[in-house]
Amino acid sequence: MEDITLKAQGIKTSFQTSEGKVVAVNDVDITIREGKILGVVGESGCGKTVTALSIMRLVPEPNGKIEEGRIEFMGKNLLELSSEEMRKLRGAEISMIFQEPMTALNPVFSIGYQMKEMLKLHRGMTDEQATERAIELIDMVGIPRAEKVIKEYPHQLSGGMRQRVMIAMALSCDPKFMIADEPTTALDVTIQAQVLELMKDLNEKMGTAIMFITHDLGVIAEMADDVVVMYAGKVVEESNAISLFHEPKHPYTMGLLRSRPDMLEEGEELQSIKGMVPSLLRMPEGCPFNPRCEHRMDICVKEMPQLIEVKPGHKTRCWLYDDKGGK
Amino acid sequence: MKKNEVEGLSPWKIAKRRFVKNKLAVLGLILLGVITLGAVFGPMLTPYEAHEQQMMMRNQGPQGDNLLGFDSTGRDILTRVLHGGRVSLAVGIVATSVATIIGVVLGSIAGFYGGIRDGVIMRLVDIVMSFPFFIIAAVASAAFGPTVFNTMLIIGLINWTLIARVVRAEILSLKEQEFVEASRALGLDNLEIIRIHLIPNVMAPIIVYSTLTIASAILIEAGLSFIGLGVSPPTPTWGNMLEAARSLTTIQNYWWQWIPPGLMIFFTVLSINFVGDGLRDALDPKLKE
Repeated sequence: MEDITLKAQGIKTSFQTSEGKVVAVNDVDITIREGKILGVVGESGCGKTVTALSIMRLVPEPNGKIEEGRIEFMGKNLLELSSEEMRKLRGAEISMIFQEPMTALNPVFSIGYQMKEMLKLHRGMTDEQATERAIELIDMVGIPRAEKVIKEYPHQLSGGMRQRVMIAMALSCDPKFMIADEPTTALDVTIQAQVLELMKDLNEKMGTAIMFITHDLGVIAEMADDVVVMYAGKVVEESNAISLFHEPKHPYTMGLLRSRPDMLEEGEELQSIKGMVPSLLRMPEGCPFNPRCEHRMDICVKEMPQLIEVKPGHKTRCWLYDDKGGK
Repeated sequence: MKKNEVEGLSPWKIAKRRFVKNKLAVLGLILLGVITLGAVFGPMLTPYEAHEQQMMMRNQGPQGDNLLGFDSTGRDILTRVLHGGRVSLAVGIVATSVATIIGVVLGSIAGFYGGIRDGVIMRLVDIVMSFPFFIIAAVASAAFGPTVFNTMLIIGLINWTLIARVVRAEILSLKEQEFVEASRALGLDNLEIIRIHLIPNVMAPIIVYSTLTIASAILIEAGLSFIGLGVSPPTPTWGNMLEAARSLTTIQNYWWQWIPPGLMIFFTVLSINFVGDGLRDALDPKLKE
């Protein structure tokens, strides 16, 4: 058995809205192996980001609440830590980078100032040490003329450079684990490729485990060692990347793979999954995917399937693979 | 520095460049500088004391060494105008500092935390805003005495509401920005986020409103002193110099007793307002040059 960096079990996070309580993440298990990249895929609104925020304990209060679960990290259950202990962990041991690099930096301070702040806070460095380290980090994420860049302000950098700065900040204290929430969605394709390459590179060099959230299966294929597919707040399939791409089990995963243009032969028509993600307020009975599923059976509309292991290391939540489903 | 190097322009440098382009604001700043220098160093240059009376010279007009003449008790007007400037400017600055500190602290707490804290603080703002100001000032100066210090405090304690509202409104929108979330993910606590990240972002409106508050504090001090509720004589302020000269005979016959302090109030407030407007334009991030 390999070493596990973070193991989340049965996370259930809900939000209080004007229309009632909504369970955005329901009974989600996430396991991240040391130094590996876990990809989390799913359509918009399926609970990827909320899962990440739950791990960071940054679910917006007072409306959001982590109701159940256990998140084991460095021998501690994160959900039992005091907010002060948790705060010390953030940035130092677990860090996170966000989707939108344009607004994730404070516009009134120079890049260097914002990077040094982290190093002083978590590492207790002096100003000179922090400056030196900041230059080193900016250099590491592949931004040329690092000594100049630390004196510049966010508006002087391009989106790709800002995202690199964010990555540098997230890595500045050598965290064991980093969450990347669609870090390349806001960037154009060429920059996207560079940033992905950089992250993969840093993951190998520094051994930081990464939870990589995206809706782009191509990115997952490129980056991830393991994959979790989420649908409507549930994990529907979990496997290593190779197995997932070669033998997808869940009809939703198959649908996602089929709706990718680069998997097509010439002349073949591009398919899509019919319908939409159901509203969290009006979840269908049984399997949440049943209204869109082409293999729907009677049991699918009555009972929620369990996550079962169909093959070593490959789990899926579908009646097709359950004896009870009467295959 | 090489010539063709692109220099990192901080928001402050950009603002400075814009401010310098605004002629009225620069004029205001120069005027304000002259007035301030006069108030700070002027009294050292005149040979008279503020309270020194020359009974023989009562109500005498400008002459020789006494450029602005004498008042009804034989004191040198120029000396008193300069001393009065010290008091008026000090009242403006201290009262505004009190108001700004209260306004920024309460405004950022209300904006950042929301909920019950916001409710309590904003209702407090509403209450303070509905105080009949002169009555409160009269009660306060009757209860605690009409000293310079009390005047500063009263003006400060009444004038923080506007700044609190502005800061709250700015923070309400700023706290939804992703860099706040990002700082949280990097391990900063709420107070650090407010102090390090949010308040610097609100500095521009704070500076503008504080500047304008200085002007109104000076006016309020003059008004209070004029009706005898501010700084009490014989301490010279522009307000109570006007008060001393308010009789009809004085206004008709001894212009040098009331025009100088009146003009000083006028020019000081005008120049501060010019500077404030200039700062508002210079610090407005939406305005591109």
